[in-house]
Amino acid sequence: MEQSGESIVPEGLIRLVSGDGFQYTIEAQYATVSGVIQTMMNSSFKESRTRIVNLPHVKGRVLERICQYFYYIPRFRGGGGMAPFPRGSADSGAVSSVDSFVGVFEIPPELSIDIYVCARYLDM
Amino acid sequence: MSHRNSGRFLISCFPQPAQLDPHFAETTWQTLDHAINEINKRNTSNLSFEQLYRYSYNMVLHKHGEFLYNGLTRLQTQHLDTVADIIKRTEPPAFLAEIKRQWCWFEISLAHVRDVLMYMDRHYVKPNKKKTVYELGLSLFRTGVVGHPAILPRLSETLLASIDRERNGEAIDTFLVQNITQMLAELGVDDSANSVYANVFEDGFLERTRQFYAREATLYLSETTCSEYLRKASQRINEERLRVENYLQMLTAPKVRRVAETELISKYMDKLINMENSGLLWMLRNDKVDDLRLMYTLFKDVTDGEEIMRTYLKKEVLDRGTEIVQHPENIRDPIALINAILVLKDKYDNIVNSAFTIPISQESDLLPSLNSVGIPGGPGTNSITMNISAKHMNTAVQMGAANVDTSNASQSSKEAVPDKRFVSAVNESFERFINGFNRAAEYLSLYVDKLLRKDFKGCGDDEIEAKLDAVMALFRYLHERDVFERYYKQHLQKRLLYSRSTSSEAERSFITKMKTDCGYMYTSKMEVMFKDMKTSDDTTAQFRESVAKEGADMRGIDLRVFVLTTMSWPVTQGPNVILPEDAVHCTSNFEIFYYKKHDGRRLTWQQSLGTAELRATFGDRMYDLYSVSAYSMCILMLFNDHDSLTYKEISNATRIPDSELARHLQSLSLTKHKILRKEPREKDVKPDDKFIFNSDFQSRSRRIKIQVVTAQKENEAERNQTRCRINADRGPVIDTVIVRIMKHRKVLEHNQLIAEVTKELESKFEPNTQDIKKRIESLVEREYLERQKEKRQVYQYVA
Repeated sequence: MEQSGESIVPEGLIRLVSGDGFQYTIEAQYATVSGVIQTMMNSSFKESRTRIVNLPHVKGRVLERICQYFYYIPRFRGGGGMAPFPRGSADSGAVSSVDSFVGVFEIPPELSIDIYVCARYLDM
Repeated sequence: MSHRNSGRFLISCFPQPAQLDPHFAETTWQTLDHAINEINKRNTSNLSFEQLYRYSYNMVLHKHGEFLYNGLTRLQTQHLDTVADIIKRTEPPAFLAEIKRQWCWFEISLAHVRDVLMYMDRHYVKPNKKKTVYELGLSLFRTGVVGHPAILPRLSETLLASIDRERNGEAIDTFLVQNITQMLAELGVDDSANSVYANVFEDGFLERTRQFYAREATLYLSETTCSEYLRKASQRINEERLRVENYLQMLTAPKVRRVAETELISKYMDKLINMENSGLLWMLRNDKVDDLRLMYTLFKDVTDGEEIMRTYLKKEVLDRGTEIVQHPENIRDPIALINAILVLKDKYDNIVNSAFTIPISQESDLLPSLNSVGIPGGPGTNSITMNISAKHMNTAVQMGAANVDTSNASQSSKEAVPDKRFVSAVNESFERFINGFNRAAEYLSLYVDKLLRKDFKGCGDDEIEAKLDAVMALFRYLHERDVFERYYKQHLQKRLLYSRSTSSEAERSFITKMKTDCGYMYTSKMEVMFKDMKTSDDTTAQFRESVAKEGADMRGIDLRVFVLTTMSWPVTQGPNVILPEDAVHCTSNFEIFYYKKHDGRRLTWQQSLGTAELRATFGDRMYDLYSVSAYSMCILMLFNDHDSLTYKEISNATRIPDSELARHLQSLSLTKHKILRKEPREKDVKPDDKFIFNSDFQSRSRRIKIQVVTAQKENEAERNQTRCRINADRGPVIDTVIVRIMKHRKVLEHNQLIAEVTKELESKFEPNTQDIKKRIESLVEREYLERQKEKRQVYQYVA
C-alpha cells in the first residue's frame, strides 16, 4: 500500500483503499457521485495530490459494491431515465416493468446496513 | 430477514474508539484544532482530508456536535483577532492591500474548513438552526475584522478618499478598490440585517457623491450655458456609471445614478429650462436638436423631468401658434397663415422625430403587456373548453408578438421612434391654437384650393402627396370638420365648374385622405360632385349629337351644361336675371332634350354660376373674351344694340341685383381690360353713371380673360351667413344622433344622453350642450321623446 511520497496513481484515476486492505482504482469522474470525494479531490489537501483515499473503517466488500454503484448510477442521472432505488434482492419478486427495463442494482441484505452507513458518510 | 448468501449477516457500526476512550471528544478536537490552525496558516497539503472529515464525522455522530461547533467558533475568533491585529498595525499606503490579502487568505481557508466540516454542516448545524461554518466565518470576520473599531472608520475613509481622488482626476488602484468592495458585498448582511457594503462604504459614498455634485452643480450653473451644463452633467453621470462598472458593486449603480441625477438635474430643472439664451425655449426656437436630445435623455430618467419638459414644450408651441393666428397680416392672408402653421408643424415634427426619441428596444417595453389579455370563458366552463380557449389565447399572443416584431423591423432602419408623449404634447398644442382661431377651417380650405389651383402645376406626384399629407395633418386637428366640409365644397364647386383644378388626381387623392380619416359619409357629397361633372360631360356630348342629328337651331351657340344634384352642391338659388334671347333659346332646347331623357326631373338654372365665351369686335379688331361670367355676358350683350347705357338702364334690362351689377360693371370698366368706358371715371357706381362701349379697346393677345372668379376669403357678413347656415345644418344632425341613440337605448337619463351625443358628434364638430338641450326639447315637443312622469330627468323613446 502506498503510504507516502508522490502518487503512483495515474492522472484521471483515483484509488480507494478499504480498512482491510482492498484497493479499488477507478476513474475519477465516476467517484464524484460521492460529494465528499468530489470535494476532497478539488481541495488542496493531501488526497488531491496522491489520488489515494484511505477509508480505514470501510470493509472491502462494502467498498466494492459502492464502487460498482459509482459506475451504475450515472446512466440514470440527467438523462431523463428513472434512477431506481438500490433495493434488496429479497424484494425482486415484485420487479416492475420499469425496473426490469433499467436493471436493478442489487444489494446483498447482509451488507445493506454497512452500505447505507458508508453512503451516508460519503454523501452520495 | 433471511440469509440468502452464505455470508454472515452482521450489523455493525464503524469502529468506535469513542466508546473505549472517555476523553474521545477532547483528543479528537485536539487533532482538529491543530489541523484547522494549519489550514488557517495555509498548510493544507500534508493534511489528510479524509482523516479530518472522519474525525468531525465521529464527533457529530457521537453527539459532540456542540462541542465541535463551540471549539470552532473559539478557534476562528482567535485567528481573526490576530488578523485584525496585523491589519491595525499596517500603515496607510498598504492598508487596503493588507485587508485584501488577509481576506483572500481567510476566504480560502474558510472554504477548506467548511469542506472538512461538511458533515457537521449537514447533520449538526442544520437541525440546530445555527450558522453554517461558512456563515459563521463571515460573521466573525464582519465583527472581528471589518467591524473592529480601529479598522472600520479607517477602511471607510480610505475607500472614500480614493474615490474623491479619482473624481478629481487622479489615477488610483481601481483593482484594489474593486476587491475590497467585492469583499464587503460578500460579507453580506450582519445580524441586524444591515448590509456591510452599505454600512462601510455605500452610504458614505452616496453622501459624498451628493455633496460633490451639489458643489459642482452650483459652480457650473454660475458660469456655463444650458447645453454646456447638460453636457457636463451627462458626462458626470456617465462617469459614475463607468465607476460602478469598473470597480464598485453593480447594486450601487441605480443609487449613485439617482443621487447624481437629483443633484445635477432634478434640482435645477426649472432653472435649466428657463436659462436666458440657452435654455429649453431657446433650443426649441433655434432648432438645437442635439442639445434638445441631450436634455431629453437626461430629463427622461428623472422624476417629473420628462413631464416638465413637455409642459414647456406645449406652452411654447401654443404661444408660437397663437402668435401666427393672431398676427394681423396673417389674418389678412389665409395662405400665409396656413403656410406659417405648416412651417411650425414641420419644425416641431423634425424636433420630436430627431430629439425626443426612444430606442426601439425600450419602446417595446412601453407597449401594453400582451399577457393582460383575459381568458375567455368563465371559471364554470369545463376543462376541455378551457384548454381550447387557452390555446386560442396562445395563438393570439403569438400573433400579437409577431405584429410587434414586424412593426419594429420596419422601423429598425431608424433604430429609434419618437416618444409618443411628446408627439401628443405637440399635437395637443396645435389642436388648441388651431381651434382657438375661428376661421381655421375656412383658411385651410382656401389653402388647399390654392394648392389645387396653382401650386401643383408641374409638380411631381410625390411632392403633391407630401403637401397634401401636410395639410391633412392640420385637418386632423380641426374640431369643426363640418365647417371645413362646407368651405371645401364651395371651393371645390368653383374649381370644378370653372375648370380651375390643375390635377384631378390630386383632387381625388385629397378626398380619399379625408375619407380615410372621417369615414365615407364625410366625402360622399364631394364624390357626387365629381360624378356629376362626369355625367354632365356625357350629357353635353349627347345633347350636341342630338342637335346635330335633329338640326335644332342653336343660333351659333355651343352650349355646355353642368347638371348638378341639388343636395350635393353648395349652391344657393340666386335671383333670376333676364338672359339674352339667344341664350334663353338654347337653354330651352336643352330642357326639351333633358326632360325627354329623364322623366320627372326638374332643372333649375343657376345663372350666377354660368360662364361664357364671347367674340367681340372693336372696330376692325376681333377678340375672344373668355371666362366671362353669365352676368357680364348679359351686360355685354346689351351693347350689341346700344353704344351707351346708364346704370339704371342696364339694371332694368337685366334685373341683375345691385351688389352684383356694380361689381361686374366695375370689373368691365375699371380693371386692366376696359371693354366699357365709365363716366365719370370714379370707382363708385351711381345710378346715373354712363357706360359706353369702348371701340378703341386694344390688347396684345387675342384671347382675353375677363373676370377671374376665384375663391376668396369671406368678408364678415358672408362669414356670419355661412356660420348661420352651418348652425342650421347642425340641428338636424344633432336630431338624428339623439334619435338614433334613443332608439337603441329606449330609456336614458339626461346627462348620459348629452354625454353620448357629444361623443358621437365629436368627429364632426364640437357640439355645445346648450344646442343639444334645445334639440332635445324640440324632439320632446315633436313627440319623438317623452319625459318619464316620475323622473323628469329621464327620457323615453316614443316609437
